[in-house]
Amino acid sequence: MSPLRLMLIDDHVVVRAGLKALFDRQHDMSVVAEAGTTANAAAAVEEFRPDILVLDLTLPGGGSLDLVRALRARESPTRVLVLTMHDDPAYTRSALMAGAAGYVVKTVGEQDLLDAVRAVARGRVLIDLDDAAKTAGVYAQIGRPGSATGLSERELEVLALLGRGHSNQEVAEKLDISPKTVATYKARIAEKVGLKTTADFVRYASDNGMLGPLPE
Amino acid sequence: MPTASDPRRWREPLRVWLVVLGAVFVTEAAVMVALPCVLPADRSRLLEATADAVLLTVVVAPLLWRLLVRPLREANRVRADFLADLFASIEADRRQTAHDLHDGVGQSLTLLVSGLRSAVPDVSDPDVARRYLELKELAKQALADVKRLALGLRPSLLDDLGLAPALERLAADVRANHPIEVTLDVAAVAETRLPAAVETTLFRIAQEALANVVAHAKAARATVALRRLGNTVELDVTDDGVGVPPAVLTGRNPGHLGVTGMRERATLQGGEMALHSSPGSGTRLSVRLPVERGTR
Repeated sequence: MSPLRLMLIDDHVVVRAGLKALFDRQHDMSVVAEAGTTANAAAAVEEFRPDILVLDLTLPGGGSLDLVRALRARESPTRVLVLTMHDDPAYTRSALMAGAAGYVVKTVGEQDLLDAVRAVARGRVLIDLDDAAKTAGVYAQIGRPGSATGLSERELEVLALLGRGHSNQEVAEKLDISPKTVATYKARIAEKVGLKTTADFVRYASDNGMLGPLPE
Repeated sequence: MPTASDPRRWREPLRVWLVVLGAVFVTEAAVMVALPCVLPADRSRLLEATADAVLLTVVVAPLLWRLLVRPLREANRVRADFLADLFASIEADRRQTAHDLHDGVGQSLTLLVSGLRSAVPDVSDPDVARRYLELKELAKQALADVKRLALGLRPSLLDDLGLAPALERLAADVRANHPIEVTLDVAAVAETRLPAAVETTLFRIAQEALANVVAHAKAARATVALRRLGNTVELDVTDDGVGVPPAVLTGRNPGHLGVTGMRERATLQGGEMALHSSPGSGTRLSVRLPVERGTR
């Protein structure tokens, strides 16, 4: 599989450098273009044809949402992941209404951000406001009740496997990640949904209809 | 030397008083001396009174116009312009400071939080692990504080997304921090943007009104409603609290800039504000503003 082509627009050079370094470290991602403003950004998107545009909302001269609308109007195949400091759901709604596929606040950890990029690349709508209640509220408003937990797609996968009684080691093998990463996911799920013991995970997954056949 | 249009002339009310009184005195004395010579000997009292009144009016009217009416109107205009500029520059300063806080310190703290989350140290020492968690929480708290400060100065929502989302946030914050059930009805402006000055005026009035409800009303419920009526927009803030003391209603309440400030903002925008209340039956504040009206 060829790596995901990413374009970054953020006016903070330090942020952009950090993001580029992070994405370029991933074997399945490659940053093909970057910019500090939305000037000429639509043309750049046409030229570089990134799979994902990682876009800041507050830019000098503004125009972030106009860019998202312009890309949608041109039926651009590039999917937009908004990465911003604004954690107010009103911003999320307006970005999604403009046509963004994802909305993640900048306080999330690197792993969550990478998960979000991959989820958006797979065609999912992904929201992470670093606050389970707020995130669930936006999911509920845009009519995706299945995602109302505020869990990322990867976290839902981990939760579904743990709910079937698999150990961390088994989950790690199935998802091709390290057991330590599974433990991290588990802690995050516990924090977001309020679960403690393995029995809690099983009960929660069962109550929420997550024990059906896994996709793929 | 002050000209007739210089509003500062109005700052000499004693002089105006003396000039008008002097003019009346001199005119009346002259009329009384001159009339018997000018008018026929068999004049009626009505003719005499009419001639007297006409002459006095002809002298005093332009004097009052020049000394009183014109300077007063000019002074009002200068005052309104000055207040409008003052409000505008305060908002601009707040917007800039909020932006600098949010995008400066806030951005750094955001990177710090994200970085601390991503770089989980492999610690076996529980003391070190606890210390790490404490520092992470501290960074998150500092970021929340900076965001709260920026929001308090001027919510970026108001500039970026408009009045309805800004009021939603305002109502959510009141609900979160006070035992008051705030109902919001902003559907009328949910999808439209009003002129910036109108949005700012209505937001600041709603903010002040809700602050008053929280601080004084002892209310259980409050509503904020925005309606579009043709070319005007109407804001109503009501509560079921204890009502407002009469001194505040009539505006004669030294030390309470709130109601005066709200009224000034509405008036500057070419609108009007009414405050209805009686003790024990809640309060209703209504503001009506024209939507089409330059930048002020």
